[in-house]
Amino acid sequence: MIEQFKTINDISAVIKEYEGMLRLRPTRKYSHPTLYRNRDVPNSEKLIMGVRVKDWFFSENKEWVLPHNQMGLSFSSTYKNLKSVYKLKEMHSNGARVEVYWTLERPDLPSGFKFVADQKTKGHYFLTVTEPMLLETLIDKLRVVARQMSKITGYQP
Amino acid sequence: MITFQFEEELQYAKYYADKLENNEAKAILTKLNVSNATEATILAQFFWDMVKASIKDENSGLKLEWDDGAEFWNEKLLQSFSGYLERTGYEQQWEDVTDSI
Repeated sequence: MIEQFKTINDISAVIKEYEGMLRLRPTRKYSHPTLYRNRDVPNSEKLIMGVRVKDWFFSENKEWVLPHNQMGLSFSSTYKNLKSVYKLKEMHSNGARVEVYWTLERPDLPSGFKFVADQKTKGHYFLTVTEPMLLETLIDKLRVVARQMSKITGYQP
Repeated sequence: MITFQFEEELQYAKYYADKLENNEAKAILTKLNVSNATEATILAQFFWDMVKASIKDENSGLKLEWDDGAEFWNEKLLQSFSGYLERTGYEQQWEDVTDSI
């Protein structure tokens, strides 16, 4: 089922079937599913080595990312949420194609990471840290999460 | 009540409600709730109008007082507004407006 997933054009029914377990991120083509490029962020000083500073709860010296259950990398878990976020990403992409990366709630998520539901928005999750983590470690682990993600091609919201 | 992850979200939204001269959106952002389906539609439509206006501003090099860029604030406000409308039973209004964009 999951293999078929990658090749289906209109996958809304499949996303709906797996809702709750899926974690989805619309991502600009050639960008990275869990890290940002300088060109993805207008004020690149707000980016440290691909990490958007305001997404995470940083220590004052910006060397550590601290646990916070409502801060982290944003993911959609429902088709409805994905559809809105995808549309927004597309509008901000100046014609660049937007792809959807996905993963499942999985036991082999890197240690110190946890998906936490947004308390105010159904269908939206944060990938959070559960322990203080050096920025370099966070980046390494975000790369692991990216390797665990698959890309849906030909997504049509 | 509409709640935000960052208080700057509200400042940013009010800036665009002013700029777009959207008095109905301004009133909603002052009382921080919608009272009926019409107001829910107004809030949803305002969100996407704000997105378009902010992209235009960013492309023309306009520097706003919020450092993190329009996409960041629009992402946050999308979750704040859509989450609020869903919680209060106006999910369909959000979806109808979003589908029409």
